[in-house]
Amino acid sequence: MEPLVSGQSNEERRSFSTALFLLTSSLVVLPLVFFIADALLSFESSSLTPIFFKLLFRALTFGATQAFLSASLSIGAAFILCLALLSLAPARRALLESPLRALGQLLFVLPGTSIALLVLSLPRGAVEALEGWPLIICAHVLWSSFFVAAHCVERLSDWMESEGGDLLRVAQSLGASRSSALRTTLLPVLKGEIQTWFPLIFLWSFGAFSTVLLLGSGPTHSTPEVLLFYTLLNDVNSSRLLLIFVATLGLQIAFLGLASRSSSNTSRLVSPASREVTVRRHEQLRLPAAFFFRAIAVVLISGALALLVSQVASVIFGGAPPPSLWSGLLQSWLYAACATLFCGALLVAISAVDARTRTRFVWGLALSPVLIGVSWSRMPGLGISELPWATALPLCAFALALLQLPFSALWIERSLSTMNSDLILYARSAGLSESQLFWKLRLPYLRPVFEKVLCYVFCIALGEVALASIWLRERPLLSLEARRLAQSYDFNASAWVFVLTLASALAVREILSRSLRKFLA
Amino acid sequence: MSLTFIEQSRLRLHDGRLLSLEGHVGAGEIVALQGPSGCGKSTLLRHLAQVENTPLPFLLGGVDVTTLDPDKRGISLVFQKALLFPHLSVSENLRFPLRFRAPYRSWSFELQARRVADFLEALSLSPLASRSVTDLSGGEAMRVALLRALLPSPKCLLLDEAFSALDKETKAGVKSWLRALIKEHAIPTLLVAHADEDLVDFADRSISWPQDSASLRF
Repeated sequence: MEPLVSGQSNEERRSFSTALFLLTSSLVVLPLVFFIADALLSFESSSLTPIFFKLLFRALTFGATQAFLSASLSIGAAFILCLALLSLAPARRALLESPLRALGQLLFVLPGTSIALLVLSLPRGAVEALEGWPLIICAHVLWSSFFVAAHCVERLSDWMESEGGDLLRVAQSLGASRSSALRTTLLPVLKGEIQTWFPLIFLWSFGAFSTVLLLGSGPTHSTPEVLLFYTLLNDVNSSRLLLIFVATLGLQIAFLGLASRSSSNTSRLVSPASREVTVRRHEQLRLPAAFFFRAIAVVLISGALALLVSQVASVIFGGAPPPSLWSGLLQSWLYAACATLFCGALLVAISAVDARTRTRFVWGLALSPVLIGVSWSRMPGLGISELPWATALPLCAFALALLQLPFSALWIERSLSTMNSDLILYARSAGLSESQLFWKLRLPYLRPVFEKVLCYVFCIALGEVALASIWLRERPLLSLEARRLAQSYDFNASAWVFVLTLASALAVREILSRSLRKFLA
Repeated sequence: MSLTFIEQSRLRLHDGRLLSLEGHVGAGEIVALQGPSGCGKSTLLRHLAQVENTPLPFLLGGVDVTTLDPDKRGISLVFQKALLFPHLSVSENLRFPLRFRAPYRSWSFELQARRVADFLEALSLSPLASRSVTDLSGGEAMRVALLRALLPSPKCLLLDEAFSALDKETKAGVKSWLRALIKEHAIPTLLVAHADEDLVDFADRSISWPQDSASLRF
């Protein structure tokens, strides 16, 4: 994709990209370097006891195992949904596709805290039976499978309407049955989706904080992020924090490296002979598989919708919310609105940089938000107790927006890679300047991504616990209130938090969608 | 093997009109269909190949194939675009129909590969065998698409402006090779073409699409 920046020359574009990358990276890296240097200078090997090493090992293995299971199960469920929908006739597909997209978008905008609360408010027996890691995996799978499925269905429907539909017809006219044609033409597209989503969901689940904090049963079932948080709460031991951070980062970078390497090798791994065997074997399972897939699709979609509806209904008929929640909601809205504004500005900036710079940001997904929060708070002049609320709130919101930059960069990159380059050539030939191209063509094209990411950041801020606990701990934010309520097993109040965040998410989505449509028209 | 339209062969056009189809295309005969854009020529080919899920009654080799699924009809359709599978190499694209069509599907991998290699050789495309289809030029891709359609020995061949992406020299070579093969294997062929040069030295007869009449006579 050709870079398109509001500047004039290539030189200016490059300087802008470099400046933005250096500025944003230094905001993350400098405090980290300061923290690491401080930890190394005051390193105490005596604090690294065998019990600590045991806890660290447990956190790493638990984090990796639950992340692997969550990613595999989510992607498996998402693809079953996709295949089930695509094997239906177009009219029937349209009937199921709309609820799935709605559900995926709804769960996409719900913060992890709300999903955790939704899982907690399941019937008591179910919660007790699943307590611990199954509950965490349930929450992650619930969130990510519908999100991935909705995204994949959207992508595959677009593909079917463009060249995919014709490829399918060609395959059928060449002798492939409908299901074989679907498999041969669709699987390569799905393979690309796996290469995108598996590492992302793995990293999200590995770095999960809110869900694990609310659903995990103490240090036995905690991810490294939660272990960092507990270490920070108990005693601010820099040596321990440093070791957890280094071990986590090492594991995440190793995983990212492995994922990017395997994605480039995958095509070479499948030999024609093995493909032949797989196709033949699948042929015998065609009918039962199609029936099984459809049944699962109906159960998954209707089950999740019923869960959401029953939750909302039980809260509405169950009594009024505690008064403290209203002030928490107000302050959370303020915090989330600030984070969304900052994120909007960052999104415009990263839309303007070239593709290579955007791809570099993606490595930021491996950084721990908790530790970055800690390192910021330990910078001279930014300490927890030193800042008044009016300063701490925008600072914390900015930090949160900055931490979402890798995710935003990834979305923008994916969206721009699908943009037809002929459009840009045509616009240039029609006399549009570089800056007009940026404001009149590229930003309107990115509107759906802006809508999604800004809404996501707003909701993340509503449910965010890590940074809020470090910087805004005196304030009764909705997310902190949710944590307190869940810890005290006040399920009715925590269900109210779920409904309030759900209502906020839907309202914000509507507001953002309308205002962005006007702004980027 | 011939393609015969019967009394019930009626095609519903985009404007809602019903067009009766009469006559037949003989074994090894190449019939060209000419008419303005959007009149329904391509729609007819898609219905014959049954890729649009709308039944169009007709006989193929004396057998009624109306109720047969597209994969059971043995009709190869070549679209205006090459539509090669982007994740497969040239030779894998060519082997694709051999994996599904009888009798080739029961052949060993080596036998299928040999048939692919022979066809590639015939059009001097052997150097492209292991190439990715995304690296092919428009003309090369179209020749591969034509080969892919012919490899499983179709009972009927439908060409939807299949020569439009080829340059003059290549077009002449491909047309003479394709015509010889169609005649040798007695494949009834329907060709949709806009340019008259696509018909010269290729089609046996040409039919104009009826503008006002309610029937199309082959």
